[in-house]
Amino acid sequence: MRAFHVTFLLAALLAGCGEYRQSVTYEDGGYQGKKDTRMWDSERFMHDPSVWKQMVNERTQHQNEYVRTEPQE
Amino acid sequence: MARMKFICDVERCIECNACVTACKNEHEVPWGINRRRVITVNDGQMGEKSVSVACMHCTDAPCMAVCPVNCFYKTEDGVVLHDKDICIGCGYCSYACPFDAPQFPNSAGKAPGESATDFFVARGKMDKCTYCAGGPEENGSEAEFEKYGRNRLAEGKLPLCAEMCSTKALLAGDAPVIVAIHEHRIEQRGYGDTRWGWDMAYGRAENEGADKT
Repeated sequence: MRAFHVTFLLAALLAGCGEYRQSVTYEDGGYQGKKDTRMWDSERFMHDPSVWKQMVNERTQHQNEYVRTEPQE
Repeated sequence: MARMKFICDVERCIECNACVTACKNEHEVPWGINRRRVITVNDGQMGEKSVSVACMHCTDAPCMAVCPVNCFYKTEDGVVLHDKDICIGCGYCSYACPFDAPQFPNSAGKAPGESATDFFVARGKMDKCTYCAGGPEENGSEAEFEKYGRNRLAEGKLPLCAEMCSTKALLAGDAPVIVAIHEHRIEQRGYGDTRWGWDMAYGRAENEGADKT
């Protein structure tokens, strides 16, 4: 009976040795994903951000109807 | 560098839902997911107002702060995007977002013939407005379209929701440019400024000197 108790106790103690850390390690702030291509990184914009920005800003003005027609006084 | 933002002019929005339809069609967004929606307050009463809401691409985005796997990133032009290969669908971003922008697909909301995406957890990977800027895949590639939708920004275009807006209530573009358009409208209306929370979203960055008007 005593041998059984000792074996059981040892088995219970040793079972703890098989445990491993299961929580995810938190890394503050660092993006973990894939690198993205920048909008202007293409032949269309000659890899120049200012060319891309100019094109987008010109297009933004299409939303402004006041550049198409002046409001009546 | 540009700082891409949306402005919804509540004085102009007529709740036509063209922005919602344009978004769903352009990106082939699956059933059950609305990257953009129109919210109406005081519906049918005097003072009824509608506002088109999607991810506002926050300057200090709370979704980025709470994400346990850091799948969010901000592009150089201020668009908040995420990597779906990293997302675990925990939903923290959904709780953190004041605009309820993060959307979670489930098999019940899938169109016939589409594969279920809830294999990982019940909620599936998060989906949200990308400002028509795709995601971390090759610009204009099929993989990018399948995961994130079309990348119009890489084509020199603006988000389709804004470009399709019939009353031009929804403006999209670089913050100073759309602010100038909106301020000109306010001057033309002649009944004063109806904006709130303006400086936080569209004011100049701190190092440029904040606009205290």
